Amino acid sequence: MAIVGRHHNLFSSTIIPTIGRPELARAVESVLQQDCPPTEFELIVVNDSGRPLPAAAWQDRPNVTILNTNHRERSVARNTGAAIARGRFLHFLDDDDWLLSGSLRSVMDLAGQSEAAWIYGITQLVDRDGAPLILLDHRLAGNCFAPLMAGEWIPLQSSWVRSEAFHAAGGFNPALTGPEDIDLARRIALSEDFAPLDGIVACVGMGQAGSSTPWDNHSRQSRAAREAILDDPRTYPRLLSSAPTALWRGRAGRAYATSAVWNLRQGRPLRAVGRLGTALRAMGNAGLALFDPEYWQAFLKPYASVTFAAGERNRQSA
Amino acid sequence: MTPFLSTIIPTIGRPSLIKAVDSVLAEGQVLAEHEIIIVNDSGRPLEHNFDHRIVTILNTNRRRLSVARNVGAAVARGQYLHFLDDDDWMLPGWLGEFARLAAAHPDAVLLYGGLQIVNQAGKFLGELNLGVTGNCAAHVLGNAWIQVGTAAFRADSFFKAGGFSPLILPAEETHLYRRLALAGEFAHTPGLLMSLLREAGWQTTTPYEKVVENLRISREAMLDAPGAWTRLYHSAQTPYWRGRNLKAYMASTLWNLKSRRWTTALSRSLYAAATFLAAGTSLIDQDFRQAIKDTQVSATADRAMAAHNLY
Repeated sequence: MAIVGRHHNLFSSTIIPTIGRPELARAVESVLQQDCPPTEFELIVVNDSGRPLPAAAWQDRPNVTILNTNHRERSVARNTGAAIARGRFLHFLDDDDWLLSGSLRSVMDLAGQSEAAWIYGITQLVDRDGAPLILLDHRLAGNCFAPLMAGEWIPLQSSWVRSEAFHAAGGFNPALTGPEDIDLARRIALSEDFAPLDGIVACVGMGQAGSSTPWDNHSRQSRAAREAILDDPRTYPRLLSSAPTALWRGRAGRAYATSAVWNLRQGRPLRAVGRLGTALRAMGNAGLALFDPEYWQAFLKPYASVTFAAGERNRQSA
Repeated sequence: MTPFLSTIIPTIGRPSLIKAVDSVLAEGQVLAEHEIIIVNDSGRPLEHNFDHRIVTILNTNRRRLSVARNVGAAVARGQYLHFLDDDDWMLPGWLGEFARLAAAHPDAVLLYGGLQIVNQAGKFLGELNLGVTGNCAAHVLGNAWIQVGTAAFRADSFFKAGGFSPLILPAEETHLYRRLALAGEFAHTPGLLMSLLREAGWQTTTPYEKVVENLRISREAMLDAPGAWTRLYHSAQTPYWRGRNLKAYMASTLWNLKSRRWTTALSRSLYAAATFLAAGTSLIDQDFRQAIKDTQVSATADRAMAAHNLY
């Protein structure tokens, strides 16, 4: 008989799904070395590799739990870790990324002052050798729904999500293997606020080389997840309330207009008409912003992360 | 060795758990092909020590039924997943019956059998079995009930369907059956596999007041799925189930009208018209009209449960 999991509450549970990559040790140590009492955080490693992990000293630490799943992919592995987690906040780290020292303490300090369900810090994107590439400094606070729908990506590795908000949203969508992180952020942003930290909290590997993400399905899955969110009756009012400027109103209109085109191409004409109707409603709601060139630039321009582009510009100028 | 089947028992720590586990362990002759995962969602340690080499205990933290079952499924190694509630128990021969069904229907996404209803004194009150093999889309849309303990899910199909929804609870079982029925075939045995305890005044942990709303959400998701109408059409082999299909599209049309989802309502009404025209001579059948009159409660469950005043 094996028994896994315990009962008690603490501040943070870091969940690392792993496919057994050797970089796991670096990820684990970066969590266990945080300057917080071990009674305030735990580490749950979900070994989805289908084989036992090589023995290591960290596996005997009292605040470490190892769960074995059976090639269930990242969303199921993360949801499984989240289900046994005892933390009030959940933090999902990949096995090839790592936390910077002092990160957890910063999150605890901000969590004491903020009611936000999603607390996040600045992310340092690195190449597969660990060399710094781009700094993701979003500075998005409060209702971030429109930016998230328009292509902003806040890495999970730099984010702490309140456990009750995570479970109220239903956790990660197991059907998604790639856009599951942005999908979760959007579903939580539908009803919850975000709060940013000032400092860099995590280093995250960038690029498709060495990535375990099945990129060939990414675009199709991403569209399906976006459609499901647009179906939610909470989406329209939340989108408008997070779009105070002409730019974001243009982005909100684009969300429905592009969906209308996609549904038409999928042979779903009635749904396309429905989306077009909502796009027109959003345009009507934009009022005078319709006469602002920024509105139409935002409406016509493909979705992309403004933060990522700014990071890339800063890197090139440096 | 990959087990043939994993039994997952979520529990809130009720004393009846011991009987449930013992009934599963009683299939001694095939233990090598079997594992049991108890998911203790009670938030406190279990009082009983289930010390057996095929038993694993996982402690979740009051995450409720769907999450607890999904956690058990994620760590399970079996080719088939079987979910038993902690107040039900299996009947002798159930595991062999699943093995025979799996051998006869290797492509089926779901294997299931019957259950007996008994009262606290052990008196036999009736039995339930949907009794349909193949495309069961119309049946599960029409709320025909397959008690989860009488079913074994092919693991790959379970995960492809996304497992139990944490957001549609209760009605999480029906919602999963509906997604599975769109994807593949069910296989059934007339054998009785499980025992369900019921009697007047029976207490449940399920918040039934949310069932109607959740079934409606689940119905809309099923009707939205690409190819749903064709799958439902081929599934409805009798006038009764053709009538149930029509009722589902009509109910959905009305709900979407009330919710001011005009284009979806129009789409549903067109599908309802197609269902009506495709029914042919079924339109003059008594069963067809009865199906339209029936409430959305499962006809199969209704007969046995209502006969003993168990609702």
